Amino acid sequence: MWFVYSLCSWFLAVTVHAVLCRLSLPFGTVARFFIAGSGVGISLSCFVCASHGIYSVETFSALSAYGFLCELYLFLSTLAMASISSNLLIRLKGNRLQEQDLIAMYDADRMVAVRIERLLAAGLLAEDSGRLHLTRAGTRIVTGFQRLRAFCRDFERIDTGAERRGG
Amino acid sequence: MTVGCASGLIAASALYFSLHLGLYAAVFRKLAVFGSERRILRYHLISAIVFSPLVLSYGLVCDDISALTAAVGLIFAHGVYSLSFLELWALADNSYSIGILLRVMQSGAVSRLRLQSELAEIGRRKKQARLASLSGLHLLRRESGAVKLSTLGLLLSHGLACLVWLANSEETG
Repeated sequence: MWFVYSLCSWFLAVTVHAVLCRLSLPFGTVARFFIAGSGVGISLSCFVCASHGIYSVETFSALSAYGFLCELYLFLSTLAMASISSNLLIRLKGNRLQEQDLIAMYDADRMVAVRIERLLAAGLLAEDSGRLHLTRAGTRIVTGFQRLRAFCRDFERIDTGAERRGG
Repeated sequence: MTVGCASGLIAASALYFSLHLGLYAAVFRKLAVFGSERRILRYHLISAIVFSPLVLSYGLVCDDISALTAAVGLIFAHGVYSLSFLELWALADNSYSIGILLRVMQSGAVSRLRLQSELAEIGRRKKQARLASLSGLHLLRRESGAVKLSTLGLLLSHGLACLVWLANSEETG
């Protein structure tokens, strides 16, 4: 039964997200899903805790299942909106196009322009008389990303160090 | 006895997740072969393939519904762990938007037109590479210069279009 609660809550979160995405709000798509997902998640937590108790395995499993479904939806949703491959697949739906036409249809300048617009809307970039600069939030994101990259790609530092010592 | 079975399984799984992450942090992140997306995906896929039947079998052997419930919950918890890891790893690897932010950070302030023309070339290269990769995954069919979706590609494009519709996004990519 706990899985039915998780599944229903996830459907509800996706529905609330779809409604929020059709309202004029000062948030991006991901923030809108955080609002919907957190609200429904808190309600689910209260419900399963009241039904099964805080430390029960049913509560743990219901919240794990809900968390996984929400993360998967968010991952696929951002992939569908922001990925180049997804854009190419959507454009080809029901069409048979020449390769050159397909590439020309999806203008590379527009691709960058769309991303800049999204970064401006998310408050990571700001624009003053045609010149773009990072906001404080943008600087924090880039610094965090650089640390993450340094952690995940530690072999690059090791390789560079070995090359320096070697030569 | 029944509580011990489920909580033992949860404790053992928490230890397994810590070891899996610890092994990556201590050893694998220093190896260049783990710098590819496919290798990292395989690292998590193999873990999920081994972990899921093991915890389910343990839940069944325990002959206790609580242990089985915990086992299913732990498979979802593995999914949360692996998805979070892969998302962070992919973000650190090659995100186009992060590339834009980095370029702006390096120059302090940059004109929008200049940034667009500089980064459009990367976009052009990415597009060509993605077309080849989609074709390699049998999602596209190339017939005498024309490109068409395969049955699998058509199914996938319907799914993606549905997600875009849910998010009410007008522009993708």
